[in-house]
Amino acid sequence: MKPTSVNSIESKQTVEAESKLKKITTYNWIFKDYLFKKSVIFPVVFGIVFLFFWEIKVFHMIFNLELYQLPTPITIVQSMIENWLTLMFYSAYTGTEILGGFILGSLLGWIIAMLASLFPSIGKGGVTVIASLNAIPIVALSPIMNNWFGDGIGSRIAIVTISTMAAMVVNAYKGFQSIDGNYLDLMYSYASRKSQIFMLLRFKHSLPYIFAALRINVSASIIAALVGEFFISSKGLGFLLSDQIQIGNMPLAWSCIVIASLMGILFYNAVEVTERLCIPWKNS
Amino acid sequence: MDVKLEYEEPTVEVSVRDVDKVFKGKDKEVTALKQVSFNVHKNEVVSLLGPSGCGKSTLLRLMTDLLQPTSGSISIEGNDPKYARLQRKLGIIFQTTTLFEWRNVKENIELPLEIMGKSKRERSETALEMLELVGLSKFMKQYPRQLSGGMQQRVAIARALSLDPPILFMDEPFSALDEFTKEKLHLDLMEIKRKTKKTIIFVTHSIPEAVFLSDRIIVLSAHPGRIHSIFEINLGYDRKPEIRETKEFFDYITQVRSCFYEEGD
Amino acid sequence: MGSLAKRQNHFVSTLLWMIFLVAIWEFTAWILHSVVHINSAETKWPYFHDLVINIFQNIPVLFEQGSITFGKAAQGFIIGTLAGMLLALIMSFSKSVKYTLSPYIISSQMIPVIGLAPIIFGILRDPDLSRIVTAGYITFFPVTINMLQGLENIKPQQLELMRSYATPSWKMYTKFKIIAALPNLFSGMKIAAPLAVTASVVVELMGAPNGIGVLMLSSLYYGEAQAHMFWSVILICVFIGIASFIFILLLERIITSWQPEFHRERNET
Repeated sequence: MKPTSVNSIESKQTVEAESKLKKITTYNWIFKDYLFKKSVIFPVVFGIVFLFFWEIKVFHMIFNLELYQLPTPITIVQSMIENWLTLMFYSAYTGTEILGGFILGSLLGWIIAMLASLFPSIGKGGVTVIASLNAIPIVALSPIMNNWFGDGIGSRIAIVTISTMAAMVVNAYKGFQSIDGNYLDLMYSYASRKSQIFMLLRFKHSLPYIFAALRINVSASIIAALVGEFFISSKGLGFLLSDQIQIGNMPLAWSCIVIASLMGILFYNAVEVTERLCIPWKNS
Repeated sequence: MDVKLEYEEPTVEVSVRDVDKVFKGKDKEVTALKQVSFNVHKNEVVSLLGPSGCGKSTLLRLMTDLLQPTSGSISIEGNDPKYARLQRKLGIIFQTTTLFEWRNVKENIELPLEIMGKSKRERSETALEMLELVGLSKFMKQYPRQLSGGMQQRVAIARALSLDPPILFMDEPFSALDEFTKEKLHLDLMEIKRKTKKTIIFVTHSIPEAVFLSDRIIVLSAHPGRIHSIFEINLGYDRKPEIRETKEFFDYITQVRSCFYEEGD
Repeated sequence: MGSLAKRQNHFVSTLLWMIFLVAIWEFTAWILHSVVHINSAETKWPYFHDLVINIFQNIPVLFEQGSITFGKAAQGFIIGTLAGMLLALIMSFSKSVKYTLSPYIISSQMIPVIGLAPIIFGILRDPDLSRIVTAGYITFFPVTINMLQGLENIKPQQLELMRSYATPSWKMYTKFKIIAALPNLFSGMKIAAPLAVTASVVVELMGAPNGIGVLMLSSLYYGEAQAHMFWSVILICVFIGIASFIFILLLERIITSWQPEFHRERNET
C-alpha cells in the first residue's frame, strides 16, 4: 500500500508540474514566440527607429545634408497625397509597360528555350548567345528601342521584353534539359512520342525553373521600365522621377521610388502565390 | 549434383546469343561485354551479379532496347527487344525510383497507361489493382516525396506491373535502401512473383540478395564483361525469411563468393 | 570521356550563332538601306561593318571614355562587394542582426534599387562619387544575399566535422565557412557586374562631365550625322558589360577551381 500512495503523490505532483509547464508554454507562445518573435519584432522596431531618425533629421546631421537634398518621410507622404492623381495615372502607365514587357519577354523566352531544347545540338549555342543579353546594360537598349519604336509606350515594352527574355531562356532551357537520364530511359521504354515526353516530363520538370525566372524578372522588368523612362519619355514613374530631380522637387521624386518599390513587392508576391498554386507537389 | 526432375521443357522467354558490346570513345574503344550467351525461362528469377563495371547494367539495357548490341542477338518472347518495347511489354525498375514528383502515387502508376492512350476508367481500375498488390492503397493521393524510399520503390514496381509485362527488368532496385527495408522488399517481391507469375531479371552486386531471390545466378566478371559461371539455386519456389539462416543458403553464398576470389586481384 | 569535344562543340556552335546573327543583321541592313529605303536607315539599322570601322577609327576616344565608366563601375563594384561580404558575415555571426536586417535585404530583390541612382546624384552632386556610390550599393544587395545564402547552406555534416575538431569560431570562418560560401559569392558578383556598369552609365546620363554615357548623349544629340558613333558607343557599352561578366567568371574559375562543374572528367578506378 505504501509505495502506491507515494507513487500517487508523486504522480499528482507531476501532473501539477506539467500543467504549470503547459501554462508557461502558452505564455511563451503568445509573448515570446508570436508577439515577441525576434524575426518579426526586430525588423519592425528597426524600421520604425530608422524612419524616426530620418524624420528628426539625424541622417541630415551625420552626412551634412539639407532638406532639399533629402526630404523627410512625412513630407514624402504629404507629397504622395497631394499628387495622388498624377501618381496613380503614371503608375498605371508604367505598370502597363512592366506587365506587357514581362508577359511578352517571358513568353518569348519560353518559346525560344523550347525550340532550343527540341534541337539541343544547335540550340545550346543559341542559348549562350541569348544569355549574354543578360550582361548588356539596359541603358544601352533604350535609345535603340526609341529609334525603332518611337518615344511611345511601345519602346519601353520592347526594352522590358528584351531584359526579361534572357533570364527566361536560360532558366527554362535548364529546366527542359536538366532531366535525369533514367527518366528519359523510362519514357523511351514506354515507347512514348516526343510530344508526350515534352508534355508529361520536360514541361512539368521545368516549372520550378520557370518560376525562378519569373521571380528574377519582377525587379528586372521594373528596372528596365524605369531606366527606359529616364531616357526619353513624357509619362510614367521613371520620367517623373528624373524630371522632379531636375527641378529639385525631391519629395515627389521619392514618392515615385516608394510606389515603384510597392509595385515590386506586390508583383513579387503575386508571382509567389501563383507558383504555390502551380507547383503543389513542392510544398506540404 | 542434383538430378533435375523436370520432364517438361521450360519455355525460353529471353534468349541472349553471342552478344558483344563495344563503346567507342574518342581515342579508345572499351569492350563492355564479350561473347555473352544465356537463356531465361518463363517464371524464372535470374540475377546478373558482379562488381561495378562488369557490364551487368549494360546487359540489362541491351535486353530492354535502351542500347543496341555491337554484335550478336537478343530475343524476348521470340521477337527483338524493340518489338517488345513498342508493344509496351517492358517493365523496368531502376535503382533511383524515377517517380514523377509532380504526380501523386496513383497518377504515377497510371503514367504508362496514359502514354498508351488507355481510357481514364481503365487506367484507374488498373492502378487501384496494382496499389492493392503492393499494399499502398492508403497512400494513393500522396506525392512521392511524402513516402519513404522503400514505399517509393514499391510504387515504381506497381507502375512497372501496370503494363502487365511478361518480364520485370530490375536494375539494382534495392541497393539504395537500408538493410531492413531491403529484406522486407525481398519478401514483397517473392509475393508479387507468386501472385503475378512474372519472369524477373534482377541486376545486383549483393551476393546474399542474389541467392535469396534467384533461381539462377549469372556471375559476370569485368574487363571485358563476360559470363564467369552460372549457379542454380535450389532453395524452393516460395522462400521464407528463415531460409537465410539455413546451411544451404550459406553454402550457396560461399560458392558464389569463391568466384570473385579465384580471379586473384 | 569526350567532354573536351563536347565543350569544343558548344564553343563552335556559339561562334556559328554569332556569325549567323551578324549575317542576319547585315542582310536586314541591306534590305532597309537598298531595297525598302526607309527613313533615317543609318540611325535605325546601320551596317555592322560600318560600325566596326567606326570603332577602329575612334578607338582613342572610345577607349578613354569607356575606361572612365568602367573604372568608376569597378571601384564601386569592389567597395560594394566588400561591404556585402562584411554584412553577410556579420549577419551569419549575430542572429539579432540577421533577424533585424534580413527582411530588408530580401525585399531588395523585389524593388528597383537602381531607381535611387538619380536621387543619389541629386544628393551628392559629385559625378565621380555618385558613380562609385551607385555602382557600389547596386552591387551590395545581390552580393549580400548570395553570400549569406552560402554561409547558411553549409552541409550540416561538414559543420559537425569541424565542430568535432573543436575549431575556434574565427577559424571556422577563415578555414571553412567563407571558403564554402565562395561559389555563392561569385554568383552574386556575376549578377552584380553588369548592373554596376548600368549604374555608372545611368549617372552619366543624369549629367556627368565624362564617360561613355556622355558620349552616348552627345552622339544622340547630333542625330543622323553621329549615328555610327552612337551605335559604336552602344556596342562598347555591351562589350564592357559582357567583359565584366566574363572577368568575374574567369576569377571564379581561378579562385574556386575545386568546384565540380569545372571538372567534367572523373577518374574511374
